[in-house]
Amino acid sequence: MFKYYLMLSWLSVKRTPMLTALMVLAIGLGISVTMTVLTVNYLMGKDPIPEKSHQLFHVQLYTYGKDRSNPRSADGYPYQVTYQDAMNLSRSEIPNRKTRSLQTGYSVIPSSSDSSPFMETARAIDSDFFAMFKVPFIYGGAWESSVDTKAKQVVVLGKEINDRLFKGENSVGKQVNLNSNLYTVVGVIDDWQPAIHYYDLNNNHFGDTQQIFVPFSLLPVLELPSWGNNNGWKTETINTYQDKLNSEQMWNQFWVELESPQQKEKFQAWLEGYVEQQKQLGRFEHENAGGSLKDVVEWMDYNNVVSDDNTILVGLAFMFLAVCLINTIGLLLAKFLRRAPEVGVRRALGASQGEIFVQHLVDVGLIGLAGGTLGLLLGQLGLWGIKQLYANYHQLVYMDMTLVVLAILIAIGSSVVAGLYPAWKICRTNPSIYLKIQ
Amino acid sequence: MLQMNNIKKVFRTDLVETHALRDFSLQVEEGEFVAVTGPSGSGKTTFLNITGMLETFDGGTYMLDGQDVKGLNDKQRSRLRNEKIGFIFQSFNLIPDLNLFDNVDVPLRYRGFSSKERKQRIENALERVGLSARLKHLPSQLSGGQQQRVAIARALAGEPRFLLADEPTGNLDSLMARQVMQLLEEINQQGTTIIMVTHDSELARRAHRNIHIVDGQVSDYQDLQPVLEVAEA
Amino acid sequence: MLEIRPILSALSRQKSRTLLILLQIAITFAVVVNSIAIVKQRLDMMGRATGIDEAHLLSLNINAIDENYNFKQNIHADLEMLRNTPGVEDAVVINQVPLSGSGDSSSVAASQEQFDKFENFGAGFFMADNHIINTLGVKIIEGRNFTAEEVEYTAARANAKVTIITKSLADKLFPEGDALGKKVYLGGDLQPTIVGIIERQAGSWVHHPILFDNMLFPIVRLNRFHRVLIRVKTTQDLNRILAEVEDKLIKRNNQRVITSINSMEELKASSYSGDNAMTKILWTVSILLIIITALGIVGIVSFNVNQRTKQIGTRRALGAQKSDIQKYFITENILLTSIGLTIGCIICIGLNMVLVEKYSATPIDWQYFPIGIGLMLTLGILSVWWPARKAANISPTIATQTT
Ligand SMILES: Nc1ncnc2c1ncn2[C@@H]1O[C@H](COP(=O)(O)OP(=O)(O)O)[C@@H](O)[C@H]1O
Ligand SMILES: [Mg+2]
Repeated sequence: MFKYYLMLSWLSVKRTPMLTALMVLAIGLGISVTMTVLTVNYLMGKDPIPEKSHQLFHVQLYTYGKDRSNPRSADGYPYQVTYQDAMNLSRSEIPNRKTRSLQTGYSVIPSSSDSSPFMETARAIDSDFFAMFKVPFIYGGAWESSVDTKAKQVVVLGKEINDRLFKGENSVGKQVNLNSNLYTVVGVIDDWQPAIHYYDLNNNHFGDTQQIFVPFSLLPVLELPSWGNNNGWKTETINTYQDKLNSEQMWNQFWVELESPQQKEKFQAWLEGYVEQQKQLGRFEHENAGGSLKDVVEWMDYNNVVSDDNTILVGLAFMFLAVCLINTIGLLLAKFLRRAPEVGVRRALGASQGEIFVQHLVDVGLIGLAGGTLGLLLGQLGLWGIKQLYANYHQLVYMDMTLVVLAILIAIGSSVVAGLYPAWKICRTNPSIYLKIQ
Repeated sequence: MLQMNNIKKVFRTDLVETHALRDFSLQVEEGEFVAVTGPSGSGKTTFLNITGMLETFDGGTYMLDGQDVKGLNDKQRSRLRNEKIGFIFQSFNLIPDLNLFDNVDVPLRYRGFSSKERKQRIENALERVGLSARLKHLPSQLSGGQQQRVAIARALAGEPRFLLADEPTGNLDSLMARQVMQLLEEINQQGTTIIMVTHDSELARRAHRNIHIVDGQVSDYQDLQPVLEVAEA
Repeated sequence: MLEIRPILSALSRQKSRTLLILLQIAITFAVVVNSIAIVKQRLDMMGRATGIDEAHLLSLNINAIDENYNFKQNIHADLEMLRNTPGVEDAVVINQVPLSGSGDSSSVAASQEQFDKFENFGAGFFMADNHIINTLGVKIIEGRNFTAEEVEYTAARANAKVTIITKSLADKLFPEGDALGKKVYLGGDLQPTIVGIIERQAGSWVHHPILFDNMLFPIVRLNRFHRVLIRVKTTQDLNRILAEVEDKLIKRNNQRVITSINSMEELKASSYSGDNAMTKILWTVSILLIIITALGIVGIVSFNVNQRTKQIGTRRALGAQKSDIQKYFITENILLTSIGLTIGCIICIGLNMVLVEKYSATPIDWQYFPIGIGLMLTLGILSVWWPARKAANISPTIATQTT
């Protein structure tokens, strides 16, 4: 019977080619626009590390003085922490893993004299960072955890820079000249490109990741500069690097890994204790003084990784899809109702309402299939266009399995939504009125 | 066997209620050829549509081959219609996009016959109406009489027990009308019960029995001649 | 004579089809008007005058490698070389580059008391020597430029005695308009005196409300990392300097890495890339939506015409003129569009309210409504024109033909 319905659909396509083309175009455009926008939105907001996103917590401390707050954050907390707080937080024994973090940078001086020095951003972190964020190694590994307290000039390189400096060979044990200081390579990581730099949302959300990782403990020793945001609220005289380390300026980040809710509670309590202790010392003067833990997903929401523009576009895209579907419903109704006399004959010859309904659903399904295919193709075009428009989205914009499935579901859903009413309407019409003399 | 008792059918629109059939009772025996006459708007088509279960009714009982039609759902009624009833219309109602073969094929598809059996039946049916040479033609390529013969073939292909014809000759000239009538008589002789609505008193007289409907009821008039004259005027 | 009543009754007999067209017109209108409003807002924002000589500016970063790099000497030598390069108008070493998206800002108040009570304003901080006015190409409308003697070279925090501020900031700090000569308070002992007021100058963060609130200080920071801003004379010079400046600087001293050589146009485009993308996407969506809706109307009306061929032929046979038939369909369309637009206006305002409330959009100017309505009506009439003509050309003989 299905083949029979297919044959009938094909006949009806042949009878109304323009109308069919119009419907396919409408569904195709609706799906492509929705998919394009949704893809960007989905990939931006997607959990970058689902297996442990609820165990990784970004730590915030309300270090402000009286009457101060962060006007840009939802709860008034500052995004970053001071150096002294980063140091103190890392003394807690409760988290399984923890890391201080800072974006810095170096001039890299290649050993061969024919290649010239170049600049690279870098990340100063603790040894736990790699395990916490599941950074894959090709050679070697993280530095010893003792280095986190007793600084040593060691470095973990990214694949790209290892290719550039060592032609991709195992460079563990070799030395790299950064800012005229020699660092020993302890590990090389594989290409690690999370779509979103969720471990540091203060700087660019998207784009290429860092290629150089050094111990955070080197900060006071080598006076590593901040290549990220430095936020101050207090009038302080900062003349030397030491002044900066002692200041209330916020320029570091701190992450912990807490396995269970109990552990989280324990650490939260420890944080409260820390805040109390600091209050005694005359810091944390604000009435809201406290500590806040946000897991990866919460942290991304908090930082509006999915921008307002994206959300607006999703809304508009769905309205666009709605117009396309309404359009299609109108055209389908017209098309089906014109066929009413034929349906009357079929009913008189013994077709049940169900059979008429299925016949028209097959009709709609074909149009939906064609529209969906067109939509997926045009969607690729749309994504290509998005990549042209947003320079740093190239890591971000691709269609994964979920998206392809989603696209197909939207295509099917759309055509069913568009086709259900017309098909239902036509199967419900009273056949006898269409059998009369015209 | 077909039996209707006190059938009532009311059409309701915003403005008026039309009692298309009222206390309509009728019995048709196996193998009969019944002609139905009556003035326009008297309820003939309504009667035929109810008989063919295209239309529901508001009161009374209708038994088709001993089965009470009232309690059946759409699927069961469609099934019954497909197996037991063939329809022929004044305006032929062939599907314009389908060739003769496919037109005759329509009821067989819903019956669920195998493709071999369908082919066999279609060829037989078309041969019976003398059109087996034109399987691939579209309806628009045929004359009115030929189209009606295709419609008859379509109605016969499923070998129904009842053939319902609503003014089958209304759109045909008298020669063609007589040919179609002859075909129906042949079919009736081979055992199919026929109920035919017609305006043509000559054709009506050729049936075994005449039923005259006036105002939604079977009229008691036995002499049909004068009434028909009025209706056609 | 417009036959509105028969049209209405014909429409009411196909309720679902009528409703669908109405909805389609309404949503299209709401989306298009809101999109146009957003696009206009973004274009206005991108088109704001910056006060600086955008077309002739370029910037670059210098990162010193050498441990013993003499900052002051090198900065002087670099600037002297750059300023003497043919085609260069002027150049400065500066802490931040306008429109670039990164830089420094701090709080400033009109009195110490206000500063302590946090009644202060945010402002961008620009530090460079006295060439800064000429390099940026900004205009001093009150007071004077820095003198060469006022310029301080320091690695530590400088205690500037004088400042030049933008008018926008001056108006906030001193609403009376008497800013010139007043002190401003930046916390601690930082209390420079305003010696000049600039008409207008954009700062670094294009999306920040303090974009035009800026302060200049005669300070050159002696940092390992510093930015250079160069103003050239013509666009040809710009391209030439962009191409050769790295070589020149490295040739003078190779103990450094030059990065981020960008023209101001590039920086600006990159800062506004999101807005630019948004406008393009909204344009595309709006145009596609209009096309879809127009095609939908063409489709439905053609269909109705086909459906009513016999009826139209009969009307013609009964004496209707071609123009009557065409008018019928056009009137029907205008009627539908008008009802659709009425609903559309409501959806449009509702949508805008959501956008304003949740996504900091601006309320739609009332002018967009007549523009949108005119657009949709024109669109409707254009879409119906062709099928209506087809209808008008139906021959009256159809009426007598049997099907
Ligand atoms: N679908 C309908 N809606 C309303 N009234 C109807 C409908 N079908 C038939 N009628 C009315 O029922 C009566 C009988 O109609 P019908 O059976 O078609 O008459 P006939 O076939 O004898 O000319 C008429 O008055 C007609 O107006
Ligand atoms: Mg009738």
